[in-house]
Amino acid sequence: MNRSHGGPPTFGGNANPLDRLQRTARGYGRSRSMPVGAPDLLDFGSQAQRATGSWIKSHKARADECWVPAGSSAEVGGHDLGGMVYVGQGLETVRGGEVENCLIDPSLPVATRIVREATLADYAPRYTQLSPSDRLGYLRWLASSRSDANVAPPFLRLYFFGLERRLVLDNPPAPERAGLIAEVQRLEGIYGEEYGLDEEFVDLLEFVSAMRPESIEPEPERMADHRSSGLPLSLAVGLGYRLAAGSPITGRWLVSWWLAQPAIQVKAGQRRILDEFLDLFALRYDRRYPRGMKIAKPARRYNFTYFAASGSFERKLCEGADAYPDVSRLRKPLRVAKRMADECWSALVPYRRFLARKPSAAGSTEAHLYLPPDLAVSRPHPGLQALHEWAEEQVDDRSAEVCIEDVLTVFEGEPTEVLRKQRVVAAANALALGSLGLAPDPRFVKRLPRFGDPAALFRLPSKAPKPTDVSAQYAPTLLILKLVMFVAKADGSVSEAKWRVMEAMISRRQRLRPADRLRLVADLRWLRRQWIGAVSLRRPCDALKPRELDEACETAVKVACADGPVDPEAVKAVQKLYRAMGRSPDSAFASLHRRSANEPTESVAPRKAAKPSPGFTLRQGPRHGLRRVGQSVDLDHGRISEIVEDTRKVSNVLSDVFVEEDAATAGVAATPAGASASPPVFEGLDASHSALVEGLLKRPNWSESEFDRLVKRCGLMPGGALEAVNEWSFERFGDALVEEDDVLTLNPEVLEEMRASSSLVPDATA
Amino acid sequence: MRQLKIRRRDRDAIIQALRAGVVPRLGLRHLQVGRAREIEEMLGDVERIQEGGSCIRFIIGEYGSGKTFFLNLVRLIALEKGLVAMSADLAPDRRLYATQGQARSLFAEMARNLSTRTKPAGGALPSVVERFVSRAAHEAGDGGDVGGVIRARLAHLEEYVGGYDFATVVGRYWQGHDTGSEQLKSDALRWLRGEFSTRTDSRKALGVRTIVTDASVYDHLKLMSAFVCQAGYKGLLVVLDEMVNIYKLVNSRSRNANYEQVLRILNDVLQGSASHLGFAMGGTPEFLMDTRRGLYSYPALQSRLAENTFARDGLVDLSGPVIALQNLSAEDLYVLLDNIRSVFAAGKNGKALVPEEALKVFMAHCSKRIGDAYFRTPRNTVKAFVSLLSVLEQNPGADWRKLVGHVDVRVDRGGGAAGAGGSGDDADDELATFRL
Repeated sequence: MNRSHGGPPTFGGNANPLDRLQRTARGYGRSRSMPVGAPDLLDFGSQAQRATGSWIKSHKARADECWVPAGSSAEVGGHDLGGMVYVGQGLETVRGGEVENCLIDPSLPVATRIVREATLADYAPRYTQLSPSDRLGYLRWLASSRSDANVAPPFLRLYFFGLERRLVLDNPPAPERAGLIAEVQRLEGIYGEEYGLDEEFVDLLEFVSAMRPESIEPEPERMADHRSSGLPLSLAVGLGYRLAAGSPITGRWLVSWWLAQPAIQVKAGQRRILDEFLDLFALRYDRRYPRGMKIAKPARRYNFTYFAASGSFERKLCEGADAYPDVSRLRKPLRVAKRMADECWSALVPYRRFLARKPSAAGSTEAHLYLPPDLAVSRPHPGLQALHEWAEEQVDDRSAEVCIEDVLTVFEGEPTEVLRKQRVVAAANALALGSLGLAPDPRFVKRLPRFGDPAALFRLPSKAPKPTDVSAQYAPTLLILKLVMFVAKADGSVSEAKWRVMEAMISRRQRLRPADRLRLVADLRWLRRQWIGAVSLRRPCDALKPRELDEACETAVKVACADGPVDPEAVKAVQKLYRAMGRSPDSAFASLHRRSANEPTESVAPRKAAKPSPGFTLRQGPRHGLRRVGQSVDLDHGRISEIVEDTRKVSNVLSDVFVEEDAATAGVAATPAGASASPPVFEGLDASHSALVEGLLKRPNWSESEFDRLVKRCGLMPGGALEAVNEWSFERFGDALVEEDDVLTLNPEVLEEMRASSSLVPDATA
Repeated sequence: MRQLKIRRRDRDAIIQALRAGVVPRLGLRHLQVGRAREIEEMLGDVERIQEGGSCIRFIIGEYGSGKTFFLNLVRLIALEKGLVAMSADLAPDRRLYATQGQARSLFAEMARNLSTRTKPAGGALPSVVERFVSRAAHEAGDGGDVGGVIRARLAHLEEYVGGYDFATVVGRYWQGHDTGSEQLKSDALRWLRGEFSTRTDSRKALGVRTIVTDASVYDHLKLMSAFVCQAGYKGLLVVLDEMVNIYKLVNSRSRNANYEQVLRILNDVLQGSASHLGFAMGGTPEFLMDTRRGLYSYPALQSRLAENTFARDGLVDLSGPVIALQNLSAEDLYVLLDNIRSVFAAGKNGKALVPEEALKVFMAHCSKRIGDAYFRTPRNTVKAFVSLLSVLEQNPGADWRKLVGHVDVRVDRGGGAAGAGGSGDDADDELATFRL
């Protein structure tokens, strides 16, 4: 209900609205026992005969006859009065015995001119008791727009009595009721406090509202202005009605209830952001209680009695079994409300402070960014939609590369002249509202933004946390990526293979949230376009822990080797990286080499033994390399199997090379031509060499001089002859016949084989 | 899997070398652990050399990763495939390019270590020369002009730089043999080994005006590859270890000159200018990657050494010039010790000196003494294990459990050029950065 209030709508100092209503009617009647039931809620006086059904019906019929509805007109004393007044005769009060004080009796005389101003000071004037001159004044006012600020108070009261009676007693149809309520509100706006009628207006409206509890809506904005100790009637009845019906309590009901508490004072700063507060409260309440809060129905109930301002009637709202549960003593829902309200006020502190600094910025895009993210998302801002649409266009798939000033230009709606960190942070926050991320985020990167700096836009998960809410692993990972990117860019291009290595590193790092991983991939994009100097490596190296540095080294080496050849520039970059880490640049070679040789990269790390063992254990497992366990070691059984298998392959290859070949196929290369005359055992040797071998076979050992003489006798040269004979022996028997040392010795194994193949061979060893 | 027979000579060589803490020059196939793909690739290279092609490989690994072992194994494979191998470790006084005789010194070292299948330990140059000359003599027949045959067969060497004099010197060797002049033969071998330091001496001794100089080392390697092919071998593999010594050169001009030699070799190999010739160079990661002093400091080399850009994400392409060796793990060492145990048992199951359990206990002991170093730089661990097995072999009644606890293992603090080649001049490294 939208109403303007001339002052705080209070029922006085009592906690119970009923008391307030009784006080309102002070002077015009007293509360008394009343019959139960809708018609019986009216006090029809002590005359029992009046309280019969026929009397009531005829009384209501009479009232309807006298009532001039809005849009109709009645002429009295030559004045066209318009509607919303009772005109006629014989309309008695429900108590009987006297005519309704608001009834305009056309038969009564009306002066033709006003003799004097109305002097009636009575709180309950009657039309019948007005002087003809006053009647003229009253009728003139009714015939006017009824908004004359100088109208005499009795005239206003008389008119109000009519409206009150119609609303409370006649139970008019809904459209008319709405028109009447609007008229009361209009009067309250014009005359309320000045004419001392503000309380009456409010009480009437509250009661009329309470008469239809099912249509009462929570009004937290109005409750924020509620100053008195008691709950407003409509709120108490509305809550009671919902508890009685078993309906859940919504966020707006709860916050209204909480705001109506006398201890709650909404300060000026808070009042500026009341709308945002109420929305945020409702938003979080709905998130916490998606089905509304269930509150146990209290046993205590209220009775409400309305005492008419005209003093001509009083009416109970309900009674007995129909009375509504009394919520005024419930504390648990209010504790929940207080906790949530505190939380919401806290979340709105940045927004409140911003508006305190820049009141004119209320409703601006910038102000919107200070709202808590959940609230900002639920209240779309047109200024942000343009930014989001632009960013969505850029982010085709998952990430887009832009310039930092482009983002700011779209965000601010005009070309950016000065790049400030705060503005970039604001832009990042604005994008985050649309589930978009901006990298680099100045909150995580030390370097201040500059014109031309690259940036990356990327899509965040729909339920991403706040941009500032990153895991502890994010910052070190970003530093590692910077170090790795320095190496990756060394040869002038960041290939797909390198990119995959870096992405794999991000995936490997545990305890990173999904949003962090997306952010880091985007960070890689801007890092790829950002110049990284060797000097800038120092700070990340100092900030990282030794284990993280190891990881950076390992990834950098992988990146350097990702494209196959290790580019010299990449080698230099890895060396610079090592130097920045305080490590020997020369150790980079070993790392790069190990990577080139596809060596298992798992580092050897000491670990505690669960149970010290003096010996070895063979462990089945996929891990390569050695792990030391205290003073024992742990061998990888699987690795040994691989090596044995590899060795078996080598052995097969080498067998083909080293195992003696068949004699039939051998000896071609070593055999000079003309060997046909040789005996079969010397097949493959020419006559001279056959003769030499024949001579050699006579003794197992030969001195050098003896051998020389023998060779000369055969017409050969010692070195060449020995080479030829041994070569032949290799081909034929798989080993040299003559072994050179201080003396020349015949190989007994070869001799044995020769003897086995021919009886011509004497036993030299004998 | 075929069981490799372990020759007594190989077994003794392995045990002796390991006890001395150096990589054996023989029988490495009995020790090799894993690296199947790398070895297959190198085998392919050897076969390419056999077929007249050329190749170059940079074997890159950290200290203790087994570069020298791997290079020696490759060398033995090459020998077994009928190639001749020349090997040397680079050192401050042995470089690819120099002006004070260091390059010639490297060539001399390579020539001294020239090996064939029958002489895998080196010193095979005379055998190779004599084999060639013998063939020429055989071809010439009795009373024929052996010198003419030699010259005819080496005629195509004259296309190479210094080829004519090379052929002349080989002819001189025959001449020395024919005339019984050991001095002439010795001078010829000295010339071929690059041991003549002045042209005058060369002219006086052999009548040739050129010698192997610092600038002609690579030309002589090409000559040598052509020559060994004429001698009946299938090609030449040059194995250069401790390439990190180039990286260690303080003088940038000197360093770049050496890299220029590497580039020259690389270009020849990649462009197919060389035939029957292969190179395997071992170095540490910094030798490859250091952008100030490593191969990467020489842009032309860097671009040629670039790996296949598609070989990533677990894909492997070993056809590039660089083979990166992984470091040893504890599991690798376990298999290696098991292989050593098998070598001691002469490859026959059931004769092992210690049970499998002993390997684990021994590793635990080493781990306790020197920590992770026992498998990262396994030289001393292997040395101690071989010593343990030797004691057990010679004292059959000894209990290995008691001995293991007394094994003394120390951290291997060697590095850089203190390679496993056992060349004996490691102390020179200390002068690598000495300046006046």
